[in-house]
Amino acid sequence: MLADQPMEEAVPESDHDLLRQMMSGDERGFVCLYRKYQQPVYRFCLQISGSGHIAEEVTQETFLVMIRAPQKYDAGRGPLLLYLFGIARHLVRRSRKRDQLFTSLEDGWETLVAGRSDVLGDVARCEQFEQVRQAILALPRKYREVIVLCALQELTYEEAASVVRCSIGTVRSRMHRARQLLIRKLKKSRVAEAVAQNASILRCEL
Amino acid sequence: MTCREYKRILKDLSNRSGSQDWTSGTSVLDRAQVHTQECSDCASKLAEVRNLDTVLDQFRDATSHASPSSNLELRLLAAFRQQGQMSSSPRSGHSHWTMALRPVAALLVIVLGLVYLSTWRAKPDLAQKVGHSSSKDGSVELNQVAASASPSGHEHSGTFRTGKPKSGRGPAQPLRLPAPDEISQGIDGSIVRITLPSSALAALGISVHPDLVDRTVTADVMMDSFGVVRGIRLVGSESKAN
Repeated sequence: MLADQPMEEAVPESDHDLLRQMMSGDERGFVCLYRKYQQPVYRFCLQISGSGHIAEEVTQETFLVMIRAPQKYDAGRGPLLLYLFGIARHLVRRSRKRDQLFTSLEDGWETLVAGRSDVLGDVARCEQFEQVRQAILALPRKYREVIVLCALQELTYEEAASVVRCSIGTVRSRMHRARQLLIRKLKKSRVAEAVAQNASILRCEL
Repeated sequence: MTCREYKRILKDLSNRSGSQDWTSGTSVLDRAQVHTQECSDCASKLAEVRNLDTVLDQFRDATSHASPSSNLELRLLAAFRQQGQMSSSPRSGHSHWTMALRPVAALLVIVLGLVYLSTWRAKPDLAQKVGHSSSKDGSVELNQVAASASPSGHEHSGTFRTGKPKSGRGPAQPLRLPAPDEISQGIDGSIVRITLPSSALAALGISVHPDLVDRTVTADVMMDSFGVVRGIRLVGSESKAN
């Protein structure tokens, strides 16, 4: 089976060629594209939704959109990854609205941090990641989107603007605001953590 | 450099290209760095931003290995194969044809509807033409009735139409009304001679000239065994007695 075969190290074909192969019914084109982009798409969904369940579901839906209507992608409007991010962003929004009452924000993240062997023993770092994660998820959607795209997915403002469908200036100002909010939230959580630590020390002394 | 200018540069720090410029040190950014040495407030803000960048970078590294389950690839591959089968099957082609023919079918339905509507509207005209037959076999021509009923005395062009005559249409072909014995053929019932005002003809679909509404018309009405009117034959008309 093609899915079981390891992907070749060097991928000579461009996205356009792979997409053309896929449209002609060649499985190899689809598998190459999937293996190339599944991780960034999944990570984007996970970072923006905070739920492993939603991230997996949305990743599947995003690639299904590509399977059903590959002709909708216009190479002139940007790289394929940004197109997939755009679809995923829309689907995450829809799915979060639908699952707002039922989805826990905890699922999927513990395994992420636990998977890192160097982090496993570092409790302080785990706590710090948890704080960052909570702070990102607590941001309003428009700020969360740009912080995930620019800071975590390493897109430029221009690329982020094409995903979020707004001007570069808007992305810049949202990013600035998002950073301010994040700094404030992280400061608060550190203070809260310090207070909790002091309280535990006092309890032990008593 | 003022604190305001410095903040503007700080705003661009989050951009990947912006932070690269910062480290490479252009003249503006050099001046910004000098400003941080002079202004402790701006220096602390810069430190906060850099701390956040470091934290976010670490967080990104920690989550960089995240990937969906391996089942997802198999599921999507199955969906891809199914999609390929659907697109290659004749059913899919058929659906494309169906999609293409939908507007044509809709247009056809509209045209047929319009034709039917125009025919239906033309029915009163037909009704007006009915009854202008020759009297060889005893039936009566309505145009004769009209002629005799007309106050001016001259004969109408063969119809009772009260509206404006339609241009380009030839003289109406008179339709023969059946004789009483023909009417009664095969139907059980009776024929009653009645006198009714001309205006009542409108109920039978025959339009009457406005000048003739005060006239009375004599007609033979055929009724079946249930008393339902099955036919009417106009015999003549006369002006109301003053």
